[in-house]
Amino acid sequence: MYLLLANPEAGSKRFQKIKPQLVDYLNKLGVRFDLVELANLVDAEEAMKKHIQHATRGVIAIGGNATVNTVINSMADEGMPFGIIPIGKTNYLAHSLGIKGWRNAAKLLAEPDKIARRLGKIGKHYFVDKIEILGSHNLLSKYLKGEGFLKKFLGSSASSSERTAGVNTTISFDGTVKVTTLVQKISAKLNDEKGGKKILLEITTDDPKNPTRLWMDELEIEGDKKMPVLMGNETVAHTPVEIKGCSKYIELLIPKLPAKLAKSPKK
Amino acid sequence: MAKTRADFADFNNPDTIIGRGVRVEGTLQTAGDIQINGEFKGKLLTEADVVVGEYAVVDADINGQNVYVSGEVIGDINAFEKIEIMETGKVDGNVTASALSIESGGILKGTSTMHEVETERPETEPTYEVQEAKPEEDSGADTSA
Repeated sequence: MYLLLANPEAGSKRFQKIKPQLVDYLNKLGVRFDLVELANLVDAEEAMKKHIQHATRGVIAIGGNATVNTVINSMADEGMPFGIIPIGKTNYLAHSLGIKGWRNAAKLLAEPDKIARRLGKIGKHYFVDKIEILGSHNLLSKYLKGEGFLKKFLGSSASSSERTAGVNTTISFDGTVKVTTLVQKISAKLNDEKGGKKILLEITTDDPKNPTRLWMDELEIEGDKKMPVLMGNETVAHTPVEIKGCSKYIELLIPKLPAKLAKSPKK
Repeated sequence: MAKTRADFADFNNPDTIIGRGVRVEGTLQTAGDIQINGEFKGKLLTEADVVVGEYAVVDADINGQNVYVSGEVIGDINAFEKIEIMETGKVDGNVTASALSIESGGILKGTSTMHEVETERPETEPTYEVQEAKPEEDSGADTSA
């Protein structure tokens, strides 16, 4: 049986609209489940403790990025498989796992595949896959790069200094190494392979053709301005921040690979 | 020799890059290639290759399999195989390798030591025939003193 934790507020309250169809579809697929609707995300941990004994097959988050992040943090120590039924406006983890739409997500629960993904920590907060830190947090400088209506309003005559905004940043890692540079974006990706370093850090400066790529197990990031730390599109923290790659893994439920691809030999 | 962004797109690639405008200080020990286009100070150790780009400034001792220098290195370089100092390369330190090459324009200010390379001596056939001396026939003469 699965424990389904639903965020009724996700995706502009989309859950209430699809709930009857979702329940019906799961029943038709023969998927046994215990559905819990959260009053708000703060209740996720309490709901988990109350209902976890029923979750023999795994815990499923129904919602968007915020719901997924909250449920992962509630269950990281339980050792249960984790799945997603995406209904929020954005769900970057579901997208990265190839889970598209609530129907496909519900279908995979009948016969899922599993993949072990490393957990990371930002302070006390767990995360999966990757986090990003934006140095060009100034909204004006972001739009001056041509990403929004403001550029059309202001024209394209912005000075080069306005276009190359960034944050003077110091990154200390593995106790002995210090990096200093002007940062526009930092991406910290968790390495799922056992052995070797746990985090791949990619730094984008004002020269995007010149990447920086470093391997480490843990790091601290501090800038001369506060930078948001994002999981998907959700801000979970601000710098200064400590990030660690954990030895712990979480099993994620993913669509079964087609038999043809599953049998393909590795290159 | 310098790798492009596409070369590093593969997450499984263990290589390290220090981009231009980035300064790194400390002891950096990795399993993959290291490419430096920015600044580095401290100590560099890898089992693979080290590439010091044209605009790089490295104030460190370097240990690697092969080391290619197009920028500036202040420190000693120890390569298991070869060191190549390109035409824009400048090394202010001692180098040790099995092979060393310095392009025209490249500068080395220091001593160079070559590793002894053990190779198997090839077997060669002699160019002459060795004829065994035939034993003398016994003529019955008394040869004793």
